[in-house]
Amino acid sequence: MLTFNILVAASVTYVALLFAVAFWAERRARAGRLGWLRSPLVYTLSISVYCTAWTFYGAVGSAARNGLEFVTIYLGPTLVFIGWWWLLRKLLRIGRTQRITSIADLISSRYGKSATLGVVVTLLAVIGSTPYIALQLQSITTSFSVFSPTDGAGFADEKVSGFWIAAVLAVFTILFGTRNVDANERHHGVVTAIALEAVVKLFALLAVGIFVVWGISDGPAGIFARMSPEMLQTDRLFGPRWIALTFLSATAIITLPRMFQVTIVENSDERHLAVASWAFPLYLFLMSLFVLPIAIAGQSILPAGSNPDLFVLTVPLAEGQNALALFAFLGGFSSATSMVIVAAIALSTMVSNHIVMPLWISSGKGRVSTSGDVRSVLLLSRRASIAGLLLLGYFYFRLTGGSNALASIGLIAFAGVAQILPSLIGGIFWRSSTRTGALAGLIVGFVLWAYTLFLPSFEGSFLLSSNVIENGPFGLSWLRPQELLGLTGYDPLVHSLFWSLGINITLFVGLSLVVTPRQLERIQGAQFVDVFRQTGDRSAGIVIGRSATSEDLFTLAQRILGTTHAHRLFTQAAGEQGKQAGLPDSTDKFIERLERELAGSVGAASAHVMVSQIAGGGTVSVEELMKIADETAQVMEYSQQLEVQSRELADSAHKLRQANALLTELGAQKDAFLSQISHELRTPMTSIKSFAEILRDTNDISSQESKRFVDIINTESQRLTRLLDEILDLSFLESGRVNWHLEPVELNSVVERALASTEGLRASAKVDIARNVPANIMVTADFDRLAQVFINLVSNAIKYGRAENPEIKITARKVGNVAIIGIVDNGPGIHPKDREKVFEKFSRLSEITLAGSAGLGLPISREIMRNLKGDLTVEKNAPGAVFRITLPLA
Amino acid sequence: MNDKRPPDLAERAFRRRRRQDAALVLPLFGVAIFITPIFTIFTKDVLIFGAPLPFLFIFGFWFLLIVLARRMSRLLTKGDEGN
Repeated sequence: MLTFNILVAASVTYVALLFAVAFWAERRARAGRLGWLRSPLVYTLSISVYCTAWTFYGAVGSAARNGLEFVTIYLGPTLVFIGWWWLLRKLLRIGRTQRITSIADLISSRYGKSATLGVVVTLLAVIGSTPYIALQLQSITTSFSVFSPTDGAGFADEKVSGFWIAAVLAVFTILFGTRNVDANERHHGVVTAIALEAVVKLFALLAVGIFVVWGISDGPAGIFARMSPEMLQTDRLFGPRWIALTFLSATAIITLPRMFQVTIVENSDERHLAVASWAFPLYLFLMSLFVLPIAIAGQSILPAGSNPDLFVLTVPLAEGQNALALFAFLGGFSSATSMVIVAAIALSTMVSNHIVMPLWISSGKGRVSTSGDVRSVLLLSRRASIAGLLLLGYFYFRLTGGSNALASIGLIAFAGVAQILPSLIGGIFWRSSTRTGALAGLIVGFVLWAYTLFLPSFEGSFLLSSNVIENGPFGLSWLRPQELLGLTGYDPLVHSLFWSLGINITLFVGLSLVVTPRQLERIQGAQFVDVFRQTGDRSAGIVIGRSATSEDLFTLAQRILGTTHAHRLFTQAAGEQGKQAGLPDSTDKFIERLERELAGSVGAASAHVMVSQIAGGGTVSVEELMKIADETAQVMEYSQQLEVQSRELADSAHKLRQANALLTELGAQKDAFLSQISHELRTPMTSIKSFAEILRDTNDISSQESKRFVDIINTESQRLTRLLDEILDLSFLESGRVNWHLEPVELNSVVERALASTEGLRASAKVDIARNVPANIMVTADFDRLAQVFINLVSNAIKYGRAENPEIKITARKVGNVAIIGIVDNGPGIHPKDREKVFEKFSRLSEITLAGSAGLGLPISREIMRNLKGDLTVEKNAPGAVFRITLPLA
Repeated sequence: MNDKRPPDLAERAFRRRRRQDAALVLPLFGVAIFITPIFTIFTKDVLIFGAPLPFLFIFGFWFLLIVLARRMSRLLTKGDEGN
């Protein structure tokens, strides 16, 4: 017979082995030599934390009582895992991109980083898990007592042994489960130890099973031959309870905090899930393969009335297989401890991130801008919660220990956490689901679960009296917890599941359709639902008004992530921003990334609050966006006005520049004009002056000579007068103060007059005139002024048109409503370069100068013609000089 | 004669999508087997080779699902690497 001491020694040795393995794995992890520790195999084995003592011992018990029903607890997870492509893969991707730390964090983060939802899910998980932890403690102590035939042998005090087990588990969990603050950093020590325990419990059960089938009987046929005909209960097998149980276990593998911890949070590689998708169902398959044979053996060997929950231990003991019994004991011990450890880690993360951290922040001590280490607060709160949770489980075990209440707690806990399912599935597949819907569904579903299933399970010893359970509160029979609204004839579990999940889903969907989600919910919703469509680091919406300094952010990061990690993060970010040294700019992108990093430690809601405290702003609301849009419209309008104005200014400036250039030119012209005038005036003046001096100073001057001198003086003064007249005339013309006597003028008469005036000149130069002016061309002009122009042009042609046989052609014709008159000589013509210059005042043409002339004739003529609404131009299409006059017809 | 050539991109994308669709169908197949009335057809009180039919049915199909899931997961991860 196994003595208690051997049992304790084996347990202690086994626990010591777990410590050693965890310690070794941590050391390897820190040395960076993980190797096969980070393999799909270890990942799959760690998921087997699903198989607790409840399934290890309880499955056989269930098989003995209800036949094949126990299979449902394994079929549900199998279906979820072979459908990994649907759900688990998406959860995994979301968990990685959003740095999710727990199931509470997932729900909170999805619904706009809601702190309230985080608290609700955490409380729900703690209430659901505490009895479950108590169940594990009970299973260990009960299995101890199996080996003690009599009570009072020193160890039979289950309460004491239960306490020590809880204490040792707390120490282990604190040691290996709270090494890092970052919940996303894998607990390699814990995971490796869990994997080892998974192997132990699998082989223990397989060993017992093989012993039963081939040791006690002679193979499968033999063992089934021992089976009592009604054991399988085949007729009652399929029904609402079968479906409900399969559904419930499928739900539990997703929503149980510890399952979420090992499957999603501790996962380091998505490909591991692909392997686990078949390997974990295989593990479950092997775990359940021998359950039925063991149950059959127990029923056939052991006396009637033996506890079927302990067949795994009692069958080998009854057959005298002490070593096998010890192995089976260690298997059960493994199942219980691994569940407690992982559940404690998962729950402590939730409690510290969603309850302690928000309280700490709002208490004011968490002013993130002050310095100090947040990590110590986090670690302390996690360690305290682990101890607290195990203590809670222990007290629960002490209060209810031994009662039947605990035995059914496994499924009750499943039903409790199943309330998370609608919000979870809705959250990752349905964009419009809202926080309000999730909150209402969760709370009401949870309350209904407690009322219809959890509290009645105490059978009257807790909150609900047995009278209330039997007859309803205040004698209202329609409120009977297990027959709500008179719904009778169903298994209590199915009944509770129907009401709680039904109303949960109704509220969740209904309120989601009615309530408008906040901006952050929409953004998170899009990020969750479309997680596979996102590539790289896409910004989670528009953020404005953020005004964090990099120093503040660094202080915050340092306090949560630790100096080394924070330094690495900031240096990397600075590098990505192209900075050689120093802190990175606090861009929106960087702030967002930092928030995600921090979320990996303290959860999304707390990280959001902390970063928002420093950075302010956050995501804009629709109203703000509208306001911004409004302001933008105004700014755009204003800038358009400015643009118009600046265009006008540019135009004005251009015109001013043009005017300035013109003025400068005019100024230069004026200077040139003045110097020209003084020069022109000086020549005759000098001549007059010198002849006048000769006349005055010379006594013996002949009268003939003096007459000649006086003549010269006269001519020169006449020229002077004429010049002054011309200048006056020109300035008079240019000033526009001339009175024009406009009247119909017969063109021929003007030509006649001009020829008459220039007759003397023509005679001396022997110039021929060729006139081709049709009669009766009437133009509107001032006769005298027009004649002046003609005279000027004809005399110019006589003076400069020097040829062998000089000839001047005068032609005229009507074109449209103007008359065009040409005056053409056959001289050398005007060089193309000089064509415009001839109309400048005092212009001196390059080769042939206007000797003896002030050169004002052509400018005056053009001025006159322009005042007469006509023009005077030089044409280029002839060998000689061609002047063209245009005039409006009368 | 084109059979020997490696399939083109469109063909590969099509096959990958079909594999993914199959991955979605597999759990539905499991659901159909285990939690629809199909289940009752096979869960009769009959012994086959000394073992009860429901036991053989459940564990047989369970194992089949595992084998299919393993094949599926290999195909899917191979498709991933093909990306």
